[in-house]
Amino acid sequence: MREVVQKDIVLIVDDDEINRMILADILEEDYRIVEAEDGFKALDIVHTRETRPRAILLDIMMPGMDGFEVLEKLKSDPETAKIPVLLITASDSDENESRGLKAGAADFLPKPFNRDIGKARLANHIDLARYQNELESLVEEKTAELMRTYEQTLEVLATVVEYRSLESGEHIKRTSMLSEVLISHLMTDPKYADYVKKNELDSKKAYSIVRATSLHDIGKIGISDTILLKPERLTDDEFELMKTHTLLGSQIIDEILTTLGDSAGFLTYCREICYYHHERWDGLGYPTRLAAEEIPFSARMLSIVDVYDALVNQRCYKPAFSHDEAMDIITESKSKQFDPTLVEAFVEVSSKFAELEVKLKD
Amino acid sequence: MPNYIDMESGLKRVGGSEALFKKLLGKFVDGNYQDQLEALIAEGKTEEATAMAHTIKGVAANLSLMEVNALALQIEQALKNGTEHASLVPQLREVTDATIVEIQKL
Repeated sequence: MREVVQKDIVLIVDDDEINRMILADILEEDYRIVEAEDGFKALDIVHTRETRPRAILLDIMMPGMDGFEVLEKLKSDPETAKIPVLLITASDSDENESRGLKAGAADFLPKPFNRDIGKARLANHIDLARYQNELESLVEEKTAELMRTYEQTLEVLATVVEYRSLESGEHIKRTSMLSEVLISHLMTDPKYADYVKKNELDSKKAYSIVRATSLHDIGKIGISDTILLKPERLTDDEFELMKTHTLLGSQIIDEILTTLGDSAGFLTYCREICYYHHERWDGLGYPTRLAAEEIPFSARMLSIVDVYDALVNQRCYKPAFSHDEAMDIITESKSKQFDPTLVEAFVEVSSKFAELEVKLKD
Repeated sequence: MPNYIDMESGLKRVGGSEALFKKLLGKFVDGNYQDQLEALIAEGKTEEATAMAHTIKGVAANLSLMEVNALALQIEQALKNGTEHASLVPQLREVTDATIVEIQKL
């Protein structure tokens, strides 16, 4: 059986039918040809999924919208910017060629057309564009892989800290999951649209914050066992030392930031969360006594989730509360310890929290 | 005798297909390019006339209509530069008519 190979689409834009027919004749053996007699129609074709071309042959002088305008529109739209455009030119116009190159044209096809040169030029540009696309997606893929590896490394580090606190290591997983549920509720319920906008939440930021929550207590690595594992209430001095885990955490993240940089924004959220997750809405928290929206969204969000999860699980210094008891405590702390909008959203999704909690209890 | 149609280069452009070449030449005849150009000049639409002369130049180049191509180029430039073109237009008419006669003989 013969394999059917889908031919690449090439769009020919020229107001004169004879020119289009000649080009189509030159190219139809190797490509699927789509034709447009003006710029408007050409843009329509380019933006239609089924006819998105691999390359465009574009006449410059056309009534209505000329070739330069079409080229500019194509190049300013990230969706079409990478499609190579070959300008059809009269052989006597250097001026047009330089203007075309500046506007992003890949090459020129002078009239009268030369069959073999025309074919070869077009094939070169299609190959080049395909090669470039492949390289770009490979780089993207490898970068994402690298990012995942490094996020996982940090998560492992955070888990080590948690084991040291004689917790099961599940607190980190739960706070990430609970954060994800809370954030996705904010982003899907239209009544939070203004809140989402004000806090510049989008799916990329949401993803980074959820991953970053894992590291919120990484600073505890620098707190001594006598304090970290003390079964009784901490003395004032001990509590002051315990508080420094916020600063220590942000310093650790700063070190990593200096070495690795932060192209994805992940570490910036890590640092915010480490440093500010014990701040309070009323400004009575630590370490810097920021209040209300001065506290970064990431830290305001994590602080609720963190407290809730600590309440419903046993700790060395306290027994476990029930879900309802924990919810009462959280609701009472609205506008005192916690962002009131987040408390509202948190109450709304608390049924889902409870389900997760059952599955994930220490 | 002037070289109205360069059959060799024209045929080469369409991969040697005589049928397609004749069809394209027929399109040129039916296109009434000369009438359109003269009408635009008569109406004083210089910009459109320049574009039409440019189109004729390009089409003629692609069909290897050498005389039409050369004169259309002259007219395009004259219109663009605002120089004398009045005498060139009848010359293009003459050459175009002669070319069409040649085409019809094929």
